[in-house]
Amino acid sequence: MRWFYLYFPSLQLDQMLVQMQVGQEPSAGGQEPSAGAEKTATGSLAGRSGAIVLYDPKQQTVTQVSGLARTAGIREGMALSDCWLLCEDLAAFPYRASMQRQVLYQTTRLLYRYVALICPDHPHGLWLEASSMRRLYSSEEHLLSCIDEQLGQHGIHYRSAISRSSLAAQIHARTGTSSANQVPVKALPCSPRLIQKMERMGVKTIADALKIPRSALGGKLGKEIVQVLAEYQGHRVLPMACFQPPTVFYQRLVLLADVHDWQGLRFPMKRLLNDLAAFLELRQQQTQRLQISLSHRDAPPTRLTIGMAHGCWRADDFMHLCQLKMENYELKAPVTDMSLYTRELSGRNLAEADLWNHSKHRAMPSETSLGQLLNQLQLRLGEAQVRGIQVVHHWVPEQSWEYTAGAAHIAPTPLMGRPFWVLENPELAQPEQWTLVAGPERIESGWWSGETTCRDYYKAVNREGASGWLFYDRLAQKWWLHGWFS
Amino acid sequence: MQSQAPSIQQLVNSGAVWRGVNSEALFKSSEYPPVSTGLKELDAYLSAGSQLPGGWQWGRMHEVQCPHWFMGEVHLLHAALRLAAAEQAPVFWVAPPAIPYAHTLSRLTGTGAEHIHVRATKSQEALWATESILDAGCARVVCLWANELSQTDSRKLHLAIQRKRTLGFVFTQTLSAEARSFATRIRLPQPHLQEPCKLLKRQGGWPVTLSQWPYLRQLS
Repeated sequence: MRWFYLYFPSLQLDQMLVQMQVGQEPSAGGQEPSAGAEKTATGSLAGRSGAIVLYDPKQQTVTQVSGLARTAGIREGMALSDCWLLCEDLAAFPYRASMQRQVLYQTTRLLYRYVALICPDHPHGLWLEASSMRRLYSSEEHLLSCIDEQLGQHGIHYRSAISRSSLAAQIHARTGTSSANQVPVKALPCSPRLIQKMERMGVKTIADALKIPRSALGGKLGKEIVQVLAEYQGHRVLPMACFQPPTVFYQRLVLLADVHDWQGLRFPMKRLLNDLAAFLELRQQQTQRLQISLSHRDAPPTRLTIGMAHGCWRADDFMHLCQLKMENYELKAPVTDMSLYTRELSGRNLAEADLWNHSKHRAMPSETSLGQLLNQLQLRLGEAQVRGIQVVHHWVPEQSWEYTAGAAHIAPTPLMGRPFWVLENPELAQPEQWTLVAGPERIESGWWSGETTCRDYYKAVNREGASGWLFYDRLAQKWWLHGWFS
Repeated sequence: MQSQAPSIQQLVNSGAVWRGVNSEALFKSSEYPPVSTGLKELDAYLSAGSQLPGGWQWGRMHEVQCPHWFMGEVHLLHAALRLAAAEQAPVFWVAPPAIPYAHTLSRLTGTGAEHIHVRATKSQEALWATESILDAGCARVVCLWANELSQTDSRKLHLAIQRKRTLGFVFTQTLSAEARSFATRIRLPQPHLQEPCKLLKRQGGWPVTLSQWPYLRQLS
């Protein structure tokens, strides 16, 4: 096996910089910048806003460093107070472990498109197994170039190393070295006491440790170092948990500043929806429900649900629906972060994607599909306000039709002589205002279930000349208007 | 020669004279012929020429003024509904006064069409829904029931339906001859006032009066 290890020295910071660039780009106009532009813009933003670091809030030490901060001499592990001395216009943000985990998870998902076997190494790295992908990529360099391009598009900095040992790849990527004689023994995942012992013995680098016969080393320092060196040489495999692609989509985005209105949420929302669209595209699936959660500083989170009668999978369609939902919605408090969640995934409707069924009667490419249109109407007016009409085979007229959530081709019926219009609930009629012209049609039903219906239906004309569908309820002995012929 | 002038006017009134201003309509009719209204007399009045088929033009809004609902106005849609069913295209009913009965629709049009009922509590919602449906361009027939449609509203609908293969109908109880952006405006007869059915506006001709409105007479 050949293992790539990708080490991300500033993953959380990279995502924040991309987010700042998207949020601060006024000319973006809802369009994602291209990969090259994003990289350039990130750099220029860093130039404008000065050096940026993330720090551990408890220990007040630097955990992640931007390029400009590094130029100023700031390094990981330095005390934050020292950093201020080195750089006056330093911008410092707290490091959040949960966010780091989330971003690493997103990055793993991103790279799963290229490599089948990925093992996340929290919180800063990933293992990618390369030998199983030989038939897909001409060389390891080819695979690395694909990964490089993808990470570059997302503005993620990384260091990589490849080895047949997963531990060796990890150590070399982290230390930025390529051979064992460059790596100090303290880089090995051993207890500090063992490291100290080795250094006292004069074993300064891993190469030094490898020169000593394994039995002698084991006898002197114990089993731990033997196992670690076996792992380093690939004789023993590190226990790793392989990434399984998620069956639900959940993504959270922490906003850099409080947002007070929908306009400010559009860019981060678009980013989330693009990721959702990529998620669905990979699986050739669609979703019918989005759940958006907006967190506030001093109030419980706002949860919004966008239901769709017809499944969607395109980011633009989702954005349009979000726009419809949000344009009349007033935020109750400034939003600090937002998340998007969907779990109701289903296969796409292949009939809509039929290339050969593109007759003039079908929607042209420029037209909105019926599913999209119904989603928009239902979102604005309410799901109960926009519904299809369908035949139900039942004797009682009010139960002989139903509303459907989406559009459906109307089913055949054996019934004849029925009116064009029907009232949802029959209205009490004054018989003296009507002249019976045809009927009766007797309907008796439900006697077997205790809900007996005994009606005589007539066609009758009122004073205005309109023709109604009346029935005489023989149980209640009343006249009711149930529909209109037209 | 002077005696021929009225006869030309009569020809114009009856739609027998084709006028250059109708070129766009003629072009459209060659691609998608108009859909019959169900009344031969009305079809003839709505024809671009005596040799051409007449009826509802595609990509236009048509207004039907009804003194009362359920006076046979839906008969004007029968051919359009059958066509939508044959093409398996959706039909939208926006804010109708009752629910189109599924069995009658199925019997009338066959099993192809998808009928969608849109309930709107406010007239502005109904207008927005209709405009959105027309904009989308995927519906074959769109029917809106509205009594408060301003000039601006009708203009919006007109702009939304342009260049779409959709038939748009507005049913209203407002009996007004005030200018509106509808291609056709027809006023159904008042049952007890002995008023005839009037074609208030049509393309390429003056307003005319129809000799009969058969649906109401059959019922009364």
